[in-house]
Formats: sequence, structure tokens, C-alpha cells
Amino acid sequence: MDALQSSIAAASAGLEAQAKRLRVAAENLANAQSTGATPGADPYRRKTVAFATASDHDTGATLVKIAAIDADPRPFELKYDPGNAAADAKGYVKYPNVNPLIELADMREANRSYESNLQVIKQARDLISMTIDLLRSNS
Amino acid sequence: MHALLFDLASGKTSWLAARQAAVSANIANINTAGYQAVDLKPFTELLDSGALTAPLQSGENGLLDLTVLSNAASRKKWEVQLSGNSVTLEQEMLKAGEIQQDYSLSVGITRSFHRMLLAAARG
Repeated sequence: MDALQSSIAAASAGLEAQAKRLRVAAENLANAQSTGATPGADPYRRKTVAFATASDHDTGATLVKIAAIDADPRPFELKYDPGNAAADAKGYVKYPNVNPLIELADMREANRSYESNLQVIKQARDLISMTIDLLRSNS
Repeated sequence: MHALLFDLASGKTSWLAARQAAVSANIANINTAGYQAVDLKPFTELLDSGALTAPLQSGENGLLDLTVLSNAASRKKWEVQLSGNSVTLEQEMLKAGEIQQDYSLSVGITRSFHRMLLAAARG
């Protein structure tokens, strides 16, 4: 495939990966307060995203993909709240190991990377149209 | 003589397109742990080696193959992140700007040379 087209392919793979990452950050933030439903039950566990380099079999272009969405092994936060449905015998409730600050920072980074990938697509399109313009009436 | 100049311009645009692919691979992998930035050999190196007489190719040992920039080299000039990722957004933007300029120049030269050729043919 044409190098410019494979550069657009790589950038769109980047867009897709960053969008998935944003989705995971949104899920984490949305569930930042999701406790279990029964006494002593585990709450929502934070998800993490791992990127990996992928290669397109047809074109040999270097792409990117989500390698895995894993669970964050960090311990849950314990809070004393005997009135909660998820409180254990001693009155402690396990809250998710989600830190909104980290999720927001992650969101920002995903946003910035998304923008850079968009910029690459724009530039590749520019280069392609410059070449096509060569064929237009010689002005 | 004419063919030579068109070949040169076409070789330069192929090289720039391949470099754009390298930049886009780097930017796509900007958050991939352990990814090392890639780039092409400089165009002048291709010129000096007389490689332009043969058509430029990518693939196994092709002239347009990507080379991995060593971490030691990039660490000197730009930063390498803790995750082992050596892509710097600023550097890639710089390269992208260069590519855009050079591509525009190369296409412009082709156009003006074509115009000259046409003028000569019309008499």
C-alpha cells in the first residue's frame, strides 16, 4: 500500500486505541463509588489499559492496539459506614480503588494523543491532495 | 536529463511519504510501553549511495525501511520515558512540519519543471 495510506491507517488505529482508553477511564470514573451489594462484598475494581505495537499483515504498516484491559491489583479503600448495605460485621465498607485524579490525568493524556493522531491524518490528506493537484490544469 | 529530474522529485516524495508513515507510527504508539521511535535514513545518504538509479522500495532491506533510533541516541537529545517509550511529541511535530514543507517544495518543483517542459514542447 501507499506509504501515505498506511500512515493514515496507523493514525486511525491510534484513534481507536485512544478512544477505547477514554472509554475505560470513563468506566472507572463512573464507578468510582460503586460498592458491592451484599455485606463484605467486593466493590468495582479499577481497570487498566495496556497498549502494544501491532503490525498489519497485508501492508506491513506499524499500528497500535489495546493489548489487554486488566484489573488494577491495588487494595480497596476501607471506610467506616455501618449504615451501608455493603458494610461488613465491623461496619466497614470497601470502596473501589479508583482515584479520580489519576483518571482525569489519564483522560487528558488520551485526549492529547487523540488530537495528535487527528493532526497526522490531516497532514497525510494534505500531502495526498498536493500530489493530486499536480494533475489539475497546469496553473 | 528530464527524466533524471522527475526521478529525483519522485524519489524525494516517496521518501517523504515513507517518513510520514514513520512519524504516524510513532505518534500512534506514543503511549505504548517499551516502544522505540523509528525514522528513515536521511535522504542525502540515499543520494550519495547512488541508490536513486534503482526504484525505491520498502520491505526486506529496502531503501525506505524504518530504522529504530537507539535509545542512547534519543536520550541525549530528547527524553526517554520511564516506560521505555522514546517518542517525543515535539520531535514528531517538528518532523511532520519538515515533511510538509519538503513535500510542498518537491511538488512545486515538479510542477514548475513540467511547465518548462510544456513551454519548450509548444515552442
